[in-house]
Amino acid sequence: MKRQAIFARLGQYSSGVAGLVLLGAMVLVALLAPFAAPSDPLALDLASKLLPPSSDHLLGTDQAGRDLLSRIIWGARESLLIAFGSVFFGTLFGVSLGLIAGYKQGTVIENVITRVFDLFFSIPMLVLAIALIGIIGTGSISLGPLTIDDQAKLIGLIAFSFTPALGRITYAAALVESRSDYVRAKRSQGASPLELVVLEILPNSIPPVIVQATLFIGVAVIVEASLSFIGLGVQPPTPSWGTMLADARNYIFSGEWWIALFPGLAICLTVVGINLIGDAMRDMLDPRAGVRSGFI
Amino acid sequence: MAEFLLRRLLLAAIVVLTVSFVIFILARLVPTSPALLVLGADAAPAEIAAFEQEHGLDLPIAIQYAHWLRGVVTRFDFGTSYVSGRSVTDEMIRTVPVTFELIIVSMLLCLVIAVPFGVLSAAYPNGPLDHALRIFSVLGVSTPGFWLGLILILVFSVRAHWLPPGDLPPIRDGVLAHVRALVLPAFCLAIYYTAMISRMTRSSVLEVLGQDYVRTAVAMGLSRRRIWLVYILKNAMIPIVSVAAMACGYMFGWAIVIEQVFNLPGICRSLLAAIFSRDYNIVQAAVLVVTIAFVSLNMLADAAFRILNPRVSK
Amino acid sequence: MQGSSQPLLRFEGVTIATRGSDSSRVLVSDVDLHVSAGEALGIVGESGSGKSLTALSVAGLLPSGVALSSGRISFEGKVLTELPDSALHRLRGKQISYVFQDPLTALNPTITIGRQITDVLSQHVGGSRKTLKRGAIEILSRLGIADAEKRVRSYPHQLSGGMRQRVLIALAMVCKPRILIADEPTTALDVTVQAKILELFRAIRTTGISLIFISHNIDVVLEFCDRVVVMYGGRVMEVGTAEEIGMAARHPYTQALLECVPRLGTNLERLRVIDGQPPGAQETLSGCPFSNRCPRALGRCHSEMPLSQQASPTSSFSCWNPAPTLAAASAS
Repeated sequence: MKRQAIFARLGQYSSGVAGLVLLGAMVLVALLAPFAAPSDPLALDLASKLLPPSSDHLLGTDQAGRDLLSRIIWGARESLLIAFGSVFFGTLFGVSLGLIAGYKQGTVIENVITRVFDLFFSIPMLVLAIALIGIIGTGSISLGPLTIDDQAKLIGLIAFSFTPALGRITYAAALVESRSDYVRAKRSQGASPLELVVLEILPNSIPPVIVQATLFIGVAVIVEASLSFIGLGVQPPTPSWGTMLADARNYIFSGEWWIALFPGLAICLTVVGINLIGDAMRDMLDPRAGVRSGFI
Repeated sequence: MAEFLLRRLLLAAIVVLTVSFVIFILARLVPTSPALLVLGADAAPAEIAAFEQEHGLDLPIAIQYAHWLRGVVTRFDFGTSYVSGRSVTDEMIRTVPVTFELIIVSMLLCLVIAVPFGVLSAAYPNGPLDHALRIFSVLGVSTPGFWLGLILILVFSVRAHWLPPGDLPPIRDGVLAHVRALVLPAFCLAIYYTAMISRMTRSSVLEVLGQDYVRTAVAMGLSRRRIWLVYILKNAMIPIVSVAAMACGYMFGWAIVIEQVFNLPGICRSLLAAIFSRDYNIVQAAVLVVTIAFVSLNMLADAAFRILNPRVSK
Repeated sequence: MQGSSQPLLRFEGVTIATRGSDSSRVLVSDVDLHVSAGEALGIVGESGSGKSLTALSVAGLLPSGVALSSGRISFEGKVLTELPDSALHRLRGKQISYVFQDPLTALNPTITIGRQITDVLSQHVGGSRKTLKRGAIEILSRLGIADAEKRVRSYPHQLSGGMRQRVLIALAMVCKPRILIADEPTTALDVTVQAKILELFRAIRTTGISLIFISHNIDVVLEFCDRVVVMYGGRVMEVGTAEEIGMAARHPYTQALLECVPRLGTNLERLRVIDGQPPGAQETLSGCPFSNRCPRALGRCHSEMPLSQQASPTSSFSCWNPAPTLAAASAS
């Protein structure tokens, strides 16, 4: 009976486990890219350009003769790095701002922060990201001694786009928490604001943020791919799933379907994995949260 | 109620102006002057200065913005494109309807698929349709619209020679061809939201089905049709309408990519091209249009929720 | 005194159980009861006693996963349990009506109360919009809602609890059903409003309609009903007229219920409570469900469900060790 119960529990989260497996595989592949990829993704070999999948090149080659499988494997690195990085920083900033705003209710700071959030909710995130990249420019930029390469720029920009949403979730939870009797009691006992925020308010505000952040990782993958596709994201020759699809566009009419299919499939599988994990987390942490898988 | 509306409109106007101003400033903060892009990278300083003076780019930013705003408000004049020299207003009149059409068709497609799917799944939980919905809802939000576009173009246009691969024949050349050209892009734009809304519909209907007032309706012997329409759907659809309105707003962002894939002559494609060519006036105008549309749709979503929900409006 | 005609509603050996794939739990067991025309039957019991499920089973309103596993329910001679749902549905609202417990959640929040009533009217009676509207206004004012002409355009959340309950009653009564089943109709209301609603029910009885009144409050039931059924753990413990139950109850549970209610004039130092908990839905018991809390339990009570025995032509109880009546006990 006990074994049955364990399996029943696992079965409930079977889709989450499946997601974990999918994402885990992708992360593993990305981490082990130098060893996993059969050939150098940047090596041009025009003699073997545009070859269909074969035993030599499992997924075929692109227009510069580069092995597609290797490029996809290395592309996983790019996409996952940018996705995880942007969500990490977005969560960091968002949660911080949200906690401050939620704790310091009724002050100017709260007003400013919430108004800024509201302002950012007035434009679709993608338009904001595109406009900003368009203005800042693609490629690395140098600010005095610091050189920010295009990946870091993308991470920063996408993180910036996620901050308001994550901030608002934190803010809503922090508002409720900071008004709770427990927090008020502790405050009257002389606990410092930092203590209160970090030890009491934060842990209770985190669960919905975690769920949303997880789902945002998937969003980040798609956003990065979209930006790279239109030329505003990762710059060639760095392999990225989005840029590969941009190249593919020129070749679908001549019938080289593999260049279009496989990178996109990689995106799909990765994001499906992430979403399955996110859904399972939502069921675990926040079951009545409703079905907002994140408005983008 | 009227005071509330007025306040919201004022807030919306402030937001639109702020965004517009911020984009204006940011664009002009970039060191590369549009002069360089138009005249070439090795243009003489005198030429650059002349260009800038001609287009008013040497004036203080605030004044430039004031001029621009005045032109927009009084004459609907959005300036001229640095690249083509043509009036931006003309460009907008040509391109804005295309994007609006795309989004409207997308949302219609989305609702026509998502709502029945969600309702039927909730009516027959754990049935084959329900399982299909669960699979579809995960796939739908995970598939990048532009990739789906590429694959569909591959399958339909190249292989089967069915749907035209991009570009939008105008209506006067035939309504059917026009609509056919919109179907694939609309589908790709809509798929994320179709997956999301079908899942939300299912949730919402399931929640309503468990409510006491549905049991009362059954206990009173009302016909199944009336129970479904007036007691179940009337309540379950309230959040969906709001979500649909907001989704339309977000579609403006993704339309930038979709219009690129399908080569549709909409404002989003123009925006992208203008960003690359530093054609400020087009960027400014396009951002303004998109922001106004987005803010309006958000207000609509909010209003819909209030109006449909007597608990809030009365 | 014998009913010369068939009872209006009759339960015979009704058992209701969950319809799970893995296991099935019995929620209501072997219930026999009847209601005659014009009569008010009270069903008393704690939460979990199965009284609500018993009531819902009449019109086939059991929740999904729960169904009748054996027994028969007949209404006006027709066997309801053998009817297809479509035929049963035609009786709902027209012959058999319900008033549910929580008036706010029982009303559709997005339509006016007038619309809810005209929906029922147009379904069963029909007529032009004006006639329907007039019917709605009429019944609302008859049930004591002042300013009914304006009130028809109100939404449920704009009304007070008492008014909403009147609307629910209006919905149930508007098509003049033969029997009205009220499940805890006053529980969710303030005490002062409760009294008013009870008065309303009294007035309703004068129309000759039969009534099933379900409550956990034995006092209200005794005051209001002609006959009373006491349920515990999904079984009928005792049946009798209100007078018999009030004065000459034999079942230990019934007596305990009666003693729990504080009355003026009694000299109690503490309120009497019944120790223990009612059986949870998990436990399937053999023997009397009350046996683990009963002060008079015998060994036999734990293993064998007592058979029903007649105490008088109109009352019966199921107990191996019935108590002497309260009157007899206080006399000794």
